[in-house]
Amino acid sequence: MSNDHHGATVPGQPPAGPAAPTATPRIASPDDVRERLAYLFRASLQEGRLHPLFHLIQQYRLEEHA
Amino acid sequence: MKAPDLALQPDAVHAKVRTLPALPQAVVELRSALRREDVAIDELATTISHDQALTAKTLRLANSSFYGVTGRVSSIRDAINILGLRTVATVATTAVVISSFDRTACTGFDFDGFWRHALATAFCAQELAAATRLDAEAAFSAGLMHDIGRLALATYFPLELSQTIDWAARHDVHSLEAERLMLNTDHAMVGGLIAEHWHFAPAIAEAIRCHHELPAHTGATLADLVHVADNMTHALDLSGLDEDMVPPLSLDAWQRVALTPQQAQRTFERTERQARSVRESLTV
Repeated sequence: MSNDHHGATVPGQPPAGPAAPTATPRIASPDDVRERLAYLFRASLQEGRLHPLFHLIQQYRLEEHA
Repeated sequence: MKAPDLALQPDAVHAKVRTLPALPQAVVELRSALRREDVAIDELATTISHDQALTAKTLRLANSSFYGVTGRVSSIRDAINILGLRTVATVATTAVVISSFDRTACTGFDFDGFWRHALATAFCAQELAAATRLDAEAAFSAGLMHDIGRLALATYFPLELSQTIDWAARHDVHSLEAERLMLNTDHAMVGGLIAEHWHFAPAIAEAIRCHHELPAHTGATLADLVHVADNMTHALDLSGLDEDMVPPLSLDAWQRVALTPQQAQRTFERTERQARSVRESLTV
């Protein structure tokens, strides 16, 4: 088994670092997009890791609003 | 904070899985027919048609806007002729798997959100299979079933799972971590047992069992597809759950799947469109 997971929070510990963004209603504007994505990816963001999907999804979502 | 110890006994988990009804004979025959060349379509259509509940569910799904033949499929024979045997087998399996579990009384477990995520992952895995030249129908089945162990935990151990859901929410950790800490098992392991109970192909069973812990491999596997599809559908926010979280991603699996940015964008678009169109037909 590989053990190469990235972005997990520490089991048994409250999330570290800055307070996680709060859950938001369905997406309505580019700012909402960024806020919602930050919330969905909070595990990897709090670990300071760049999730490979983050920018791809952000670009996809923002193009919907372009 | 220390997590409460609610460890499930392996014997109790196995015993519950064994109480799951077997897949209907018609579905077993359909799936078996996919592996044969000498399939008697008329005989197969007759066998399926004898199972009225299965026929009704399959026709309802086959007539959804996703398949582009709305209203044109009025019999199993039509379904096979218009959609093809592989698609009908997938549709029938989907209908049966979804109806195998009733809504549970597990506090905090969102039954509809569960199926929205499962269907989206199935479509996403199917799209990724096209990009990686793996079996698209197997990818769909594995995607659909990947979290089936969580549904089994919600059904058979509702109090225990409810506490893990509550603990994970309060500590903002992924549900998998809470399951392992508190139940001494996880939904992937339980799902693997169910896949074996239902005699799914070994690659599908492995994808379900290993979608959070991927075996080392040289090329992309079905388990890799399901792992990446699971991540993508959480990131696309397709479960409709406010508190959703993108799980940890295996960089090894991501690199084995090796999508181009164009393939990724196309996968996002098609997954969203497919998930929305078929959802109405399943009322999830």
